[in-house]
Amino acid sequence: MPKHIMRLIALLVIVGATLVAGRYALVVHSYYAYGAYRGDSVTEIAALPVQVAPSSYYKSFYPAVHEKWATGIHNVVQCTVCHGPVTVGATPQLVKLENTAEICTNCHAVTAGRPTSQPQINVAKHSGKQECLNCHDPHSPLLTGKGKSIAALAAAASEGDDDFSGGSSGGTTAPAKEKLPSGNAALGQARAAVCTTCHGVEKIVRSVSAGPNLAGQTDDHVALELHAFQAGTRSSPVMEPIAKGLSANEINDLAAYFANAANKK
Amino acid sequence: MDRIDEDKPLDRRAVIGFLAKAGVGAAAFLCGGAGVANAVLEPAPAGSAAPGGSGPVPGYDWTKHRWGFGVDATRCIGCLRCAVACKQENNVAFDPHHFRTWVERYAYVDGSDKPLIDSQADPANIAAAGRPDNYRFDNRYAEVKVDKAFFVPKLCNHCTRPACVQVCPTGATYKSVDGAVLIDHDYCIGCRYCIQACPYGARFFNEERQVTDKCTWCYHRITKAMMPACVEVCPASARIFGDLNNPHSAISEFIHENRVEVLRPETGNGPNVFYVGIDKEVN
Ligand code: HEC
Ligand code: HEC
Ligand code: HEC
Repeated sequence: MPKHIMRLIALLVIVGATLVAGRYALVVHSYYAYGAYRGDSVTEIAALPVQVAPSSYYKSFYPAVHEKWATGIHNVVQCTVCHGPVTVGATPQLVKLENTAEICTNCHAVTAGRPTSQPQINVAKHSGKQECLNCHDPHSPLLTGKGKSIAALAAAASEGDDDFSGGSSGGTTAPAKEKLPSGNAALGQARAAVCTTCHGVEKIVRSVSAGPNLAGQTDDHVALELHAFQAGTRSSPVMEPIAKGLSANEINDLAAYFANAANKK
Repeated sequence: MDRIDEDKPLDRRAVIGFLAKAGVGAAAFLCGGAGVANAVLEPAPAGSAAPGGSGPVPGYDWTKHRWGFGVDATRCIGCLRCAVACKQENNVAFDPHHFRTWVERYAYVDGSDKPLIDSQADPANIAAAGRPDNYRFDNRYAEVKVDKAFFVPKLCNHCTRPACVQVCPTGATYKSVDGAVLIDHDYCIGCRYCIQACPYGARFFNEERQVTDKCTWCYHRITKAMMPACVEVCPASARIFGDLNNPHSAISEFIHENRVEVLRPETGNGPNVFYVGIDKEVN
């Protein structure tokens, strides 16, 4: 082979080798493993930590609270929404909740654009400056009352009675109950037909003007509020005449019925 | 090269031809044999060069999934817990201007056929939230007659033919085999072409790291069989996520049972976020 061809081949080999070496040194190995990008970046992105743990993650740390939450109406609101993020693998550090009204109104204040399927309150009319926890358990908020009528709770809260000012005492210290005799749910069901147009059967009615949801509520709460409407300690142009037409036994039957009615979604 | 023998010196044309072929070969070699645009439209058959055969994520076969997202705007209550959870999950700055996912409100007031649009970044809504790390919609239409008002959650559409990927000069953003459009923050040079290319405004600039940022469908969660953070916390089931390859997944059922639409189909990007309950003014 002539010399100049040999030189040319040698030159080409050197150029080729430089290209190969250059590519090897300069291009990250995983580049083009799958396409025109660094394949390792997918691995890196997939390895980022999970910081908003699902509620099931809390189960082993707080079995009792989790159980109450999972069986209540709020099982659609995840623990992290109220208690802050928790990295999977770490022990949950629940953020101390100072202002629960702010948390609850994120989802429950009347807001233009919010579908009527979402329970909404006019805060000024519903509770004023009271803490939501005075009446509601955040983990199962349908269970209102804590054994006292709403009027009694409001009065207690305004006197600064610690039992009812909410806070972490939550479900642990049960306030003294005005326990009422339990009624007959079957008799209550027959009577409840007139109530369900406004209060729904198993949560069917849901609009700002309809009555609050009663299915799944405690019997104490239903009975105490009906007595309050009767006595006029709670005023409502709609409910006062209805409650005045009920006997004490009928109230207990209705309360038993609603307490046992399934709170289906 | 068998044509070349010692008696017959190479003619110039043959040498040039050889050089040209060698050059093309070397160039193709350097580029890995695939043009950038090609790689976008038809992802390399997965596993072709993959260590382990099933993709880059250990314990997860990305050839088996094709993710899709659904939004049921009729259910959205505008609580913005999705936006908060997204920021917590993905370390996005807690200010009212950087969001991987966000919510818009469309309100038709008093017979008007043009909606008034606001989002959590609206000054009055920022004031209603009160704190930089919380977001909230105010009740601004309390005094007027509202004919129709609804919330629309927004996020990256993880398009089938993403414009953002086409314009990226460094291969920092790409379409993964399972459908997510991701960003390699090590390769992003912060040129922001992609932010301009996206017809949905889904990308934003992360000033702190000097890179572009956007929704990944929580790729680090979905590859561990978890829901994206926004889907996880949504109390109203307005966000739906799942595998389009599985006919019984939540997203497949959502698409089968509803008349879904996508945003700005005319741009040809092929978005993969399917909406129910929006109207013509939403895009
Ligand atoms: C992330 C949004 C969210 C937050 C925050 C939230 N809720 Fe709820 N809440 C809901 C949803 C959604 C429902 C309805 C669930 C259903 O229909 O199954 C609900 C239901 C309720 C109900 C039952 C209403 C009815 O009539 O059926 C009460 C009472 C309630 N919540 C109280 C509270 C209280 C008190 C707080 C604050 C401690 C709170 N909520 C915080 C989303 C939220
Ligand atoms: C709607 C908001 C909300 C949700 C959802 C929620 N919590 Fe709470 N939680 C509260 C509030 C309010 C308190 C009482 C205030 C405080 O002590 O910080 C509380 C208190 C607690 C406490 C301490 C007091 C007690 O009752 O024992 C625990 C433990 C707890 N929550 C666990 C959970 C777990 C686990 C979940 C999810 C399954 C959860 N919470 C979901 C609002 C919420
Ligand atoms: C015409 C509609 C209507 C009918 C019928 C009706 N209610 Fe009501 N009810 C309401 C409204 C509205 C309220 C809310 C009153 C308020 O807070 O101002 C209410 C409140 C209540 C409450 C208090 C609940 C709470 O959590 O504060 C109870 C208990 C109750 N009703 C029971 C009944 C029973 C039992 C019947 C049937 C015998 C009945 N209601 C029939 C509209 C109705």
